[in-house]
Amino acid sequence: MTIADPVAMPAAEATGVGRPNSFGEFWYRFTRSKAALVALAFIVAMVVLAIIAPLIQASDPFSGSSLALAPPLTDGHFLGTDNLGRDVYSQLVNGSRVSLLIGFSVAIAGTVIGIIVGATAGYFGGWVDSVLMRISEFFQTLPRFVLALIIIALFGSGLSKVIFVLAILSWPQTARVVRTGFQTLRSAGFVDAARVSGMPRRAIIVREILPNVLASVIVVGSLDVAGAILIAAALSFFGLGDPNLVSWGGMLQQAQLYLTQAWWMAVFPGVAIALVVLAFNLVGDGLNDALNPRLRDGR
Amino acid sequence: MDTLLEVTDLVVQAAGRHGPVRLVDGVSLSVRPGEIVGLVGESGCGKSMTASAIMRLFPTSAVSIAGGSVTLWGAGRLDTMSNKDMRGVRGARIGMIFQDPSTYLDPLMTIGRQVAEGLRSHGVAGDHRAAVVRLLEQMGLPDPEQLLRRYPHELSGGQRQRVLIAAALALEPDLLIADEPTTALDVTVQAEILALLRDLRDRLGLSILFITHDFGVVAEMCDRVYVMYAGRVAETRDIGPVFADPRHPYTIGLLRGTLSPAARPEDLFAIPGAVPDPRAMPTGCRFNTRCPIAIDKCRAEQPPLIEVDGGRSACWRTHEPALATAWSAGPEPVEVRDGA
Amino acid sequence: MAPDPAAAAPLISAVQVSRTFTVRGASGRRKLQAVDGVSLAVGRAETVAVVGESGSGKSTLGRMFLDLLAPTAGRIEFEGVDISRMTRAQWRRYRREVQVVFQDTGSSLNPRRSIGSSVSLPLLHNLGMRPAAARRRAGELLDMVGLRSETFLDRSPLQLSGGQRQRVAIARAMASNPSFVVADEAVSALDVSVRSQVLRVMRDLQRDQGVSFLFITHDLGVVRAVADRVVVMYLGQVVESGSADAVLDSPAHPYTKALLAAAPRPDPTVRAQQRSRLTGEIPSPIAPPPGCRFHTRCPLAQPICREQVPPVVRFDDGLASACHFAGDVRSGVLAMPAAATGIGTTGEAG
Repeated sequence: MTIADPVAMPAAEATGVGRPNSFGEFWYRFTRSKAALVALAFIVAMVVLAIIAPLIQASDPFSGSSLALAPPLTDGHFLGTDNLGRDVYSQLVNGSRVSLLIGFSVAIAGTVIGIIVGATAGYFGGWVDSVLMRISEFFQTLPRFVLALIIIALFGSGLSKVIFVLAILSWPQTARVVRTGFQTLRSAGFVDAARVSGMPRRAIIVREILPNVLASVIVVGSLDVAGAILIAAALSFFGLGDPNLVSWGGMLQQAQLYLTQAWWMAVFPGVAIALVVLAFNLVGDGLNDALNPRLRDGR
Repeated sequence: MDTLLEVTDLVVQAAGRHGPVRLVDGVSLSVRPGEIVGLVGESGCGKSMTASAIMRLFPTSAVSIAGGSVTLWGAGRLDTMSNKDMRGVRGARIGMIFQDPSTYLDPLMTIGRQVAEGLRSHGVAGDHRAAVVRLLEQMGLPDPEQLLRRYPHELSGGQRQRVLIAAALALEPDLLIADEPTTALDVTVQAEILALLRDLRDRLGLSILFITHDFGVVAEMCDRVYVMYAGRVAETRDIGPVFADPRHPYTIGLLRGTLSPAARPEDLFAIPGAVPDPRAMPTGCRFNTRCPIAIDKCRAEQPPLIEVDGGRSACWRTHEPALATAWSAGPEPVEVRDGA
Repeated sequence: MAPDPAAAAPLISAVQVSRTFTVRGASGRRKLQAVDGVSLAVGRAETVAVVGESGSGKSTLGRMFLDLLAPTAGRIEFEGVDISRMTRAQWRRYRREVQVVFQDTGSSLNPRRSIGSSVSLPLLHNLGMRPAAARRRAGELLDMVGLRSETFLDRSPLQLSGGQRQRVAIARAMASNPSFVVADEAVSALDVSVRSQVLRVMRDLQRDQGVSFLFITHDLGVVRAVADRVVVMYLGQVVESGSADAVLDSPAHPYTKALLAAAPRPDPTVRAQQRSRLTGEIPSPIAPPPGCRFHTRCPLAQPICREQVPPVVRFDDGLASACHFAGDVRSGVLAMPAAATGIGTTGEAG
């Protein structure tokens, strides 16, 4: 007989007659972590900013001006300008689009692939599992950055290629988590009951087991977003990003030569990257605590 | 000493979404030297929480002692002492064993190291190895020298529980708290472990607070018993009287519902209804919503523990003859209809 | 053991089934024989209890009855037809007629499904009902087990107590009107008084709808209250079988006697000191003892027990026991010794 989590119990009842997996219950647990809540607000704000970027930019991020290397709080350039006189604030706001787009695309693509591979390996076991896991391990051991470099060097840079490369490298993590979930649940009582109820195998995988595994997947997914943003920035930094787009990594690349003269060229995009990555990590933690309530240590 | 452990009006509460919830609400119990005292009740009655409170080992920081006192002879008030002092008490003065032996043994540590851990952390000098071997032998484990190097997964359930008992008793505490120690074991293995615990009491004078939901085990082991219901003590009696002449409708109902190989299909008896939610306790006697002989006084006022022969019972009607036929009046109890 | 000859045209039967698992251990791959040559028949409107401890194979046997596991030898027959050789139509009928109630482990109901949804599953898949009709019928089933449908249809399993969850499991099992239900430790995880509640539901279903049960349990205390016949298993084999009264009142096998002796009674005047106890631990099913598998722990063991597999001895009242000395054990000529003093040593490690 396990000790019931006395705090979770009230939460479950408090949602009334209660539909299972109700959002209210999840939200209560998520909001217990102030950090996660703040981080989520930050991300939402960033997404909104990214969407309305063209509307709030001060000037066209691509067009330079004669006012090069102007410091922050110069008239008309809130965060200063870079070496070509381009407005840093506008670049920052536009660059967020690229970062967030890459982050979410990679996470979604990687998650979908990861679910398919992980579910198959976890449910069927045996040689199917062995083969899929060896493949997954292969991808995991590839040095992410080096591989990205190679692929882009060979096939040219471009947003879609960057997304493709990063997705290829991020699915093993999700696959692992999904696989473990399936291995655990395939012998759960309700799965056997579903078999005895006449449910066909495919339905069992998708409608019985998968929903119970999704919690962990979402957590890994949020961390994937953070990881992807970071690597994409690094790629841009090395000049392998899409040159036709403004990106934070690209801004950093430009900033290298002017670190002592114009610190604002590096600091703002750098801080932006750091904050976004931190935010996704905190949200990931918060999601984990909310979706997998654990008894915490106490005295 | 007269009493080894004295718990008085203990209150344990948990922080809930809509305010604190009392999981243990005014429980008093005592354990004398060399006694095996049973704490019996169903899930949610608060028996495990009471044990956690004594040891101050709550599962989350949301649960805490909110009232009453816990006093251990020779150590003072356990509920108010510093964490440091409490660490000195755990293991050395009070040992504890739990339900599922597999989850309480580190799979990556050898048996020898795990049993010796208590000795080490309390700074006991001397040869730990020899002490551990002696302990394992005392617990009836064969070939203890060899056992030192083995890992938990190489042992059976019964052997693991013996190892845990050895670890709990390594520092020779006066009191052992056993929380459902045999529930997860096979019945033949359970008999052995229960015999071992009784033997330890006989030979070492060990006192045991034995927590269980099984009245058969209570009859097997205990000198006295506390029957808990919904966070309070319903009845506390010596072992003979509680079975021969129970004086609380809940105890009577539980005993009647206990199955043994002699029970036939007609004998299947269940107390109707369910244990109330701690957030919505009935007024007056907590059992009144399910009690067949509840009167208005029961709904209005919570009964105190009233003296009866061999103990005390928290029932207003404990001395009335109506009690004896509490569950036999009328036709078979109506089918349980939950959710009404 | 051969099926009870008195059970004419059984509803479902296991015929000499065995099930072996390959275990990857430190010393390479070993074979674990969980069930070894078991035959067991269950008739219509009959409840058979299968009693055993860890390693007895009772749960594996149950899973084979349910076609969740295939036997590695022998066969399971439903209404006389081998389930592994059924036509599609026959198998679909089998799927409707044979259902299960598992132990309440917290994962016997999908936590992401409402109660109504879980109970509807067999209605949708085994019976091909439409969702609206299935929901209505699920409500009726919940009412049948004493859970008000208005309240419980949309609840989450997390909001229910153990006893309520088990009643939901019973409702789900009864959805397709089965003729046979395997109850695998269905009440073991429940509180004492809740246990009786759930057993009464099952008893009433037996009585009112003529459902047969295979009641798998380790608790002898529950057996007589639910079962007509009892089968006792040890390390993958049947050691004794017969009517509940015969097995519980006058068993003919030392293991059954030991189980009965070990079960604590709610009566402080009869303590275990006065009853015999087994020593040693249950041997590992990977390397079962030779001859009679029980001989390593049997207080009445003789040299023959180690050398020869015991025959099945049948008595007039239908009791059958796999012991060389069944007759003497039953009559009491060979008595189980009183408990050895001391704490008992544990034998071979697992």
